[in-house]
Amino acid sequence: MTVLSADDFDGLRTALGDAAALTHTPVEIGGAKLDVTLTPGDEDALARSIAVLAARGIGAIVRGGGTRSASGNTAHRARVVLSTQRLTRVLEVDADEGVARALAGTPLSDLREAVDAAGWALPFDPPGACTTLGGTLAAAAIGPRHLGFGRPRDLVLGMDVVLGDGVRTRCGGRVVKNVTGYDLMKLQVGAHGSFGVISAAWLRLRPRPECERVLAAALGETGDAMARAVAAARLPTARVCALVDTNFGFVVEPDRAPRAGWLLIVEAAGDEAAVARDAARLSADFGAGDATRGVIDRVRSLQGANFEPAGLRFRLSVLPSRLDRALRELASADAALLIYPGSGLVFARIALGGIADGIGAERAWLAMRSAARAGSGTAVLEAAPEWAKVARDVHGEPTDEWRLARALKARFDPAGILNPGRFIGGL
Amino acid sequence: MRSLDRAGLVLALREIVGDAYCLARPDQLLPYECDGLTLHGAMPSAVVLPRDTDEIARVVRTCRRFGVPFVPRGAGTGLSGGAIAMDGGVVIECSRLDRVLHVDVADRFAVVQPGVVNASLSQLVKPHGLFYAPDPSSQLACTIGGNVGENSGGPHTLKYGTTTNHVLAVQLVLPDGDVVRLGSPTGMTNGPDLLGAVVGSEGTLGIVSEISVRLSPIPECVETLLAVFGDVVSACRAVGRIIRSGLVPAAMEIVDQRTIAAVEASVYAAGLPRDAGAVLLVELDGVAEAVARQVARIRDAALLEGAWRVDIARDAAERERFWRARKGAFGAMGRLAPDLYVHDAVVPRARLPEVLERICAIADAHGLRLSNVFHAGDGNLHPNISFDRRNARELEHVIAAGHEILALCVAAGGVISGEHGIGVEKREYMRLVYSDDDLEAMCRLRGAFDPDGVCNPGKIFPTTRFCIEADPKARGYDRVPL
Repeated sequence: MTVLSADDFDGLRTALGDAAALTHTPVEIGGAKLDVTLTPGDEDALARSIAVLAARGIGAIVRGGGTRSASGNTAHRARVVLSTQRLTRVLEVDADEGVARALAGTPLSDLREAVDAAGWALPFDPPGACTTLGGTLAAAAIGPRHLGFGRPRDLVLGMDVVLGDGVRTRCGGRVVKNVTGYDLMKLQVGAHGSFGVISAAWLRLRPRPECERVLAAALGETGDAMARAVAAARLPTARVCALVDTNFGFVVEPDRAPRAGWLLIVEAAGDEAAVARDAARLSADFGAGDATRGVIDRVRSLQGANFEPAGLRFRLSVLPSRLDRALRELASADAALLIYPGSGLVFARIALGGIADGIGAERAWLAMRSAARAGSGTAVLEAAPEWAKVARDVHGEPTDEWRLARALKARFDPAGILNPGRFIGGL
Repeated sequence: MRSLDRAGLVLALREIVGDAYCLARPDQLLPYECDGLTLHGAMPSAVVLPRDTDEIARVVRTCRRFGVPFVPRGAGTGLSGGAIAMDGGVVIECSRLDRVLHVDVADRFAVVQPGVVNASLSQLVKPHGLFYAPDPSSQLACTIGGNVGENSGGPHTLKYGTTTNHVLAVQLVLPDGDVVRLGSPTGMTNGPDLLGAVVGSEGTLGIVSEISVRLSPIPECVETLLAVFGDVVSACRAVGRIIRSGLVPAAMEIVDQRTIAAVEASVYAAGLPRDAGAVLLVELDGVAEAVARQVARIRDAALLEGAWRVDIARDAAERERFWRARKGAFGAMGRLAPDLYVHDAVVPRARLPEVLERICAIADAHGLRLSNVFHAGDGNLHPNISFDRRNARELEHVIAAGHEILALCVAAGGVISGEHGIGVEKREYMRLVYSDDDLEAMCRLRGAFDPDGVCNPGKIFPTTRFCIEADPKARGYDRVPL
């Protein structure tokens, strides 16, 4: 347990008062056991908290709903948890514009409710019952519907961010088109809180589709299975296209899960006539039929809601046409697979032998690396027990971005207090 | 820069790109003095036309050695003075890097050099049933490298998004001459999204020397409607109604009465009723069955807001005629006055009617000829002021009105640029939108890429902490004969 010194504890309490409730609650995140949590009550208190932490050089793990606690590298020098749990408010849903703004700690479920009530759809569906808006954006987290919704980077219109020295900043705006200065939103989306703490965001909403239909089909182990699945994902109304292997098939859709090969799940959404046409095509080409209720939720849960790290969960991103090649490299890894063929994403879970199965973990990494190379993409270890992260970067092979990220970290978080050690290259 | 240094610089640059591709005579430099916004001008020390990434990197390192800033330039069609070389910098013109390096039909992306002309890529991949979605008005001339710099939009961004939504990866020559790759053709990297920060950074973070762009499938069906209204406010209300209904057309454009008059009097005449107050052009694309129903819904929305009539293009020729009213607008306005100031601002779409009325009132109060032709679906306004820069008094009014228009748009919840960028044109207006802390955060990004501020200096960021001066000279309008 990392215990905050009495001096630092008193210093924080004096500087922040009641605005950022200090609580003693033991929490384990990112390999760090922390006993103090700061929970600022508003954006101003968040900024003041970060300023004080920076001034005292106290590293903080930024936490939203705690959905992705097992992700990232092992934290170093973190001494407190900085929680956004009290920053929960839907600030505006503009039904005329199809845009909404909420504080970062707002649970996506609350935001979705407000957006639904205004007649629009919230285009985020990552796994995790407690997932917050801020956590979703910081992790660039996606769910099965990313095929139709788009990615978080393309859905954020504006953002309020507190930088690592406590400076409150705003970027973007509420309008749907904007080139007024740099696009700092994209820098923050997917940076896992390393360049600042997102405190609020303006989002683009999607129209609610007139009609939704989910179909399922068994897809054999034939050589063209991936190509056929990619074709299904490219149907005009496809909002979800997922392939589930035999490890998961019976969990997702017991009646249609094949004994060998893949279970194909497609959600079509949009204009009624267009959905009907795509459904007919899926029926003709794949023998697909209507899936049972809740199937998309079950697919999403495979991505790892509140994943308890008993094994390893990798995310591979490859070119769709090279899925075949990538999968061949995974053949020996004994992984359970969920694939989104339209975007070339593979979620691979690997169970490990026993306690601290280092050889198993190493073998898994080698397979993932080969698969990423074969697919011209990348492999990231999304969730793992801390021992499996030792002496390894969960983000995979360094890229040119990593070098520039170091210079950015020095400027956006000069004291190095935000999620220290957890991001790429141990930033 | 001392003349001795300049001679040395030119010599060094010629060694890299060859004599023919390093321009240094005043008559050669003159075309590079400004871009599509002719009010601002600055004479470069030299212009180089490198042929590959390596030459760009060597040019950059040479500029560093001589302590000279540099600016990348595509076709020079930009409308915010972003491609002019301040402080006697060197212009790095990318027109020789004009090859499409690779087209991946299976994974729907292409790798291009920055000098590839926007429209030519769509033409090239058309046989594969694909196209490149961003379509700025200048797409027959502008380059994809320039589009990346400005995060260019166009009429069809309403449905397809702007350049940033279609760029998957870039090769970037950093301001220290190093070459990096950002992003991935897969659309996902294992690091921060620096690509997203580079697109739209107006050439201030480095020089893009190779670009991977997403290609989109050509929709199976396209329908184009032209709704004629008695006034522009009703046309705006129809747009609001369509957005609220959840329809996402490919494009929604409005041409106002003053523009119609100019178009109909020009070679671009599209047969529009000259007494119309505005026309709304709506394009729908997608699955045939769906589009047919959407056409009916759009027509109903237009009629409910008082459209005189709604025409639906019967064939490609008629579609082209409809679009002529939109695309010919800028050319037609050239007839009205020697100069045209094309403004660019965005407001929430529901605010369009009131904002437009007030913009017209501002122009009237200044005695200016203003017309509107704009991307209504995005709320992206283009108030165009026709004027004569030789008339100093009129120019003062043009500048004052421009400031009032931008302030009005920001007060309505909008921003000061939707697709043209800030460049030199709007740098002093950045404070209308952002606080000092917000701007300082942008400086931190800039500093990580270009700590010495040598890559396209003098753009985006305000030069003064004081209020905007009324004097055009003080605001950088160097070419104004006052």
